[in-house]
Order: sequence, then C-alpha cells, then structure tokens
Amino acid sequence: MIELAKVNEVVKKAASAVLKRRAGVHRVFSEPAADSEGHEALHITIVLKPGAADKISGDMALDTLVEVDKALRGAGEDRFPIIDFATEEELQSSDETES
Amino acid sequence: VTRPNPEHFFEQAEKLVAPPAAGRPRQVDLRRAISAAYYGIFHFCLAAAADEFVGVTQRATSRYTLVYRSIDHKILRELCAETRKLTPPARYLPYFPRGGFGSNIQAFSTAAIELQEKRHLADYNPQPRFKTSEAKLAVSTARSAVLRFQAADEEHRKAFLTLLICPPR
Repeated sequence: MIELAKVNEVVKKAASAVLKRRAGVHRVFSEPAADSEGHEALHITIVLKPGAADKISGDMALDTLVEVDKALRGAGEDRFPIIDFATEEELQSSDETES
Repeated sequence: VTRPNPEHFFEQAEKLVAPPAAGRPRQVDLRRAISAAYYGIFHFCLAAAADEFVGVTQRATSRYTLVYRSIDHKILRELCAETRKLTPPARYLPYFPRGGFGSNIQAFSTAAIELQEKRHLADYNPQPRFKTSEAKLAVSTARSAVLRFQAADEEHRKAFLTLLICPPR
C-alpha cells in the first residue's frame, strides 16, 4: 500500500504515457474506497482536458486501465484501482441540478 | 433465438450517453449506460462459453441455456482477477496457458473487473454523481475489451472459457 500522493504520481505518469498530449491528463486525485466485495480499493479520478473524452478511443481507455493497474502493482500497491475519467468542467458542475 | 446481443447493450448505452436536447444528462441515463456497458461484456462471456461448449447450432436448446446460466458475476470476477496475476495460484496453474494468458485476455480481464465495479456503483450506490466522460469511456472500453478477447490466441480463449465454466477447486 502506498501513499495517495504517490498513487496520484504513478497514475498520472502511466495515464499520460497512453493518452499523450492530444487527450492529455490534467491532474489525478484518489481516495481510499471499498470494492463491491468490501475489499480495500482505490477510487482514482483522471481529470482530462476539456473535450478529451471524445478524442479517446476505446483502445486508449482500455490501455490506460491496464497500464495504470500495472504501474500501481509495480509500485507495490495491491488495492484494486477503480478508475473514473472526468473533465474539470464536469467536476465543477457536479452539484448543479440535472435536467 | 432471443439471447441478448452484446453489441445491442453497447448501442443502448451509446444512446443513453448522447447529449440531451436541452439541459444536462440525467444521472439515471448515465448509470444505465455504465450498467449496460458491463452487461455487454458479461453476456458476451456467457454466449462465448455456451457457443464453445454446447455449440452455435444449439442456441435454441435447453442445454445451451443451462450452460449460459451457469456463469455468475462472481465466477467471472474471480477468474479475471487470477488472469491479471503474474503468478496464478497453484489451483489454477495446471489450467493456465504456459507463460500466462497474454495481453489481450489480461486487458479484457482488467476491463471486466473495472466495469463490474462501476456497474455495482451505478446500480446500487446513490452517492456517486456520474459524468458523461466516464460513461462514454465505459462504453468504448467495454467494446474494445470484447474485440481484444476475440483477438486473443485461440488456445487462450478456450482456456479462459473452460475455467469460466469449470472453476478449479
């Protein structure tokens, strides 16, 4: 188990390597969580540049999950990463009323 | 035969994440999209296993249904968790391909667990607020995961499906 700051650093490096500048990673934040079976997990949010979700293919998204998972395990983290993608705009507007 | 078509789950999910005519997307639509993305993968596995062990030409039979229904979410999750490991536990070792499952099955397994977790949150946890980006990427990830499975080595696919039907004790 590694510190959350280190988790964020590892995830940002791994995700950036896959997504590159075109659909770049703006920042990463994470928090401890439990998975559906009650095991310790990590809830990780990869914050993308505006409009990036439309530029990321399924293969890129999948490769990001794989590479983040590998990088975390390589760094000694054994909690399963539950990875979300969001833009800064989506995070800021998350408290607004939906239609 | 009316077995669910995995691609139809993905198409349904894409409709749900399309921008609404006005206002913000509804949470229930984003949640259902994430759930459908996972169920596309899940039913893909069930169909692949039943096709392998009962046969494509037997889809209308009760034997096909029996095998199709024999796999649950927990079995899929446990197998996917094992395929991601560098060294599988001893009880799986004799049944794994030499050198492991390879990148395609491992990527499929990572996506299956990830989407199963998200599906659980989307279907049962009222707290998270889902974003359009994550719902869209859940759908495209699920579709790619199925393609990766189909692109995997035939023996690896057969080994995975066998372990899905017959988990070692």
